[in-house]
Amino acid sequence: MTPESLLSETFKEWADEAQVPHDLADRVLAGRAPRASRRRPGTMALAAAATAVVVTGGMLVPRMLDTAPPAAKDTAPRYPAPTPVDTTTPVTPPTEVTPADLPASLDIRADTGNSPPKSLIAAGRIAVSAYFVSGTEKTGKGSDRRHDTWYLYNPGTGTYDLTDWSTLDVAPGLRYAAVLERELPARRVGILDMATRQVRWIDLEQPAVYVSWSPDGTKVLVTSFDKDPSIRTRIRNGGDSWNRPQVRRLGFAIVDAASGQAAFHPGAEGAGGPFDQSAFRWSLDGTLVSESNPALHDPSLGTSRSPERLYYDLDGRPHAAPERDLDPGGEAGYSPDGRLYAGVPPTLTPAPAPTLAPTHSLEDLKKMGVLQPRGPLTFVTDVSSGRLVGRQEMLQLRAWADDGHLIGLQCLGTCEDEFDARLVVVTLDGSKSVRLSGEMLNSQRPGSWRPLLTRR
Amino acid sequence: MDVAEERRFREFVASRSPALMRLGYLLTGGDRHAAEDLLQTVLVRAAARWSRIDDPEPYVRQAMYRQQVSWWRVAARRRETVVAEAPDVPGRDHTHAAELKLVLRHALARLTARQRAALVLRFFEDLPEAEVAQIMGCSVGTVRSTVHRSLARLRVLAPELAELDSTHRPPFKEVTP
Repeated sequence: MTPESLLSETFKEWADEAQVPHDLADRVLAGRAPRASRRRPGTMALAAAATAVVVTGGMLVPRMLDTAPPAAKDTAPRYPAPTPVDTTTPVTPPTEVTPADLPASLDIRADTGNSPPKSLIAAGRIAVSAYFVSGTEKTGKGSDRRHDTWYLYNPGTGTYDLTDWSTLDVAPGLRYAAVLERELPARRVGILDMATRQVRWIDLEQPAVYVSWSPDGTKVLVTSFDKDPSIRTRIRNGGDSWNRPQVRRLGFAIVDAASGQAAFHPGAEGAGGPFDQSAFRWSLDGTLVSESNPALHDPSLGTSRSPERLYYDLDGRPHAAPERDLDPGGEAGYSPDGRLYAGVPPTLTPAPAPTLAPTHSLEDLKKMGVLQPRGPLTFVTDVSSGRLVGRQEMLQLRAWADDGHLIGLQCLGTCEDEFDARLVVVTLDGSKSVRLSGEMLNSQRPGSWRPLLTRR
Repeated sequence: MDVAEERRFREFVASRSPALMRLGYLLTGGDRHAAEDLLQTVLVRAAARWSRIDDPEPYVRQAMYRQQVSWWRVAARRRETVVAEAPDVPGRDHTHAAELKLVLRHALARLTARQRAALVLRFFEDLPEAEVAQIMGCSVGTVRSTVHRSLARLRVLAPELAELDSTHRPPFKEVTP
């Protein structure tokens, strides 16, 4: 290698780390000058360079180690530690405010006039990177399979484009999406450049059904099944009864997006089956993956039903459960700074449900709280003290916009129907909210749209 | 900007911003935020006169170069440091070439904006000297001397590169001012 070629190669590899802001054209057309606060002398990306050398030669797509958005650390405000909630006071619905009433750093993008949305929805570190409209497709008389229609954010136009992928996941930073073709299970996974819409294909050893980006946006976790697990046969009783063919969850592959290398690892014996078509998922820090324990669904596989999930390192070796992981109930879980927890903290043992007896009078039941309507209510606790520090009248908290705000599902009206909701950003104390989306009706039914939330 | 122009502008940003961002990233010495700001600033300016720009890419590239050099001058006046962090020491298991590239990045980030721009235009954009001169607004002779001085400076900042010199013909020729 000559120094000239070294210089040329260094430039090329270095330039591969550059990434285009997802909303560059919008920013420019809005006439926005760059945020002066972002210009920090001395914040060179050299520290990241040490990791850059891991990836050499044969790159399929630009390196993506730095796709994790900087906003959370660079511009997110720091909030004072929240104080414990006075649980004797009733929870009230949040007051609806405008984005201007919340910190400007949240950079809220809402599309409340369209459902599904037409323009980008985002708040803080999170964006709706894509959404799908759920549906099924007939495969024969009395049989069908899942057929979702995905719409993927297009940073060039600022809108969501109709796609024909059977499923997809967007990498943190909104630069790339991992996609699978319509026919499942798929024999290859595509890495789609969100800006150019070009796809690079990576062949897989085992058939794929689900894809999921690692938290650092460098790897794709592919879940393999031997057949499409969504297939239903002998659908009868007006769609209320059906059979599922025997399917097996074979294992997972870790695909390195930059090099295109994929390595398959088998999962637990007996995984899959009629009651579990779930995917492998990343651990919170992206160092492990896990699958639901097949023994939970099939007692013949083991005498003990626990643990809930089986963990593996990225080379497929069984591993102990990490101390911190994603919330098992799909709530937002740990805050970006790790100090708070949205959902029921795994360290807390829920109080045992009261034992009811036929002898209990109505008054007894009222005293026991059994007849109190719980209503929509979400919780945030302080991780170190375990104290409740926030209550919000929400159906669900889906993600942390920053350390003081969450993206939640708020039910409509007086919450007559838990499947009618909208996306909002809500303050930690539950006092204020801003609408992000239009109304999402009948979200349990085919034809409804569901957002994919991704770090932007 | 009418609807058709806006569409043309959005198409330009969608198709060309990856390449422009790569240029911005190198011009700013690997500072992602500065690169974003640089491209955004120049695009805002381009959008304002979009109907009068026939070939936007050369316009934007030249504007990025000039904007970066002027920003750097402002920064220099404010006595801001250009580089605050040293790169992590690469592990022994990495290949030697990869280590050299790291050293080279560090050295490149410590050049002046003008020196770095000259090298980017010559060795990344692969432009002939005459074109570099046009973009930099100087003579071919100045381009030549800037490139040579930048290379010499790199060798001072990264003595590790000398071993390449000893195994190959001397490419980073020492130039006496």
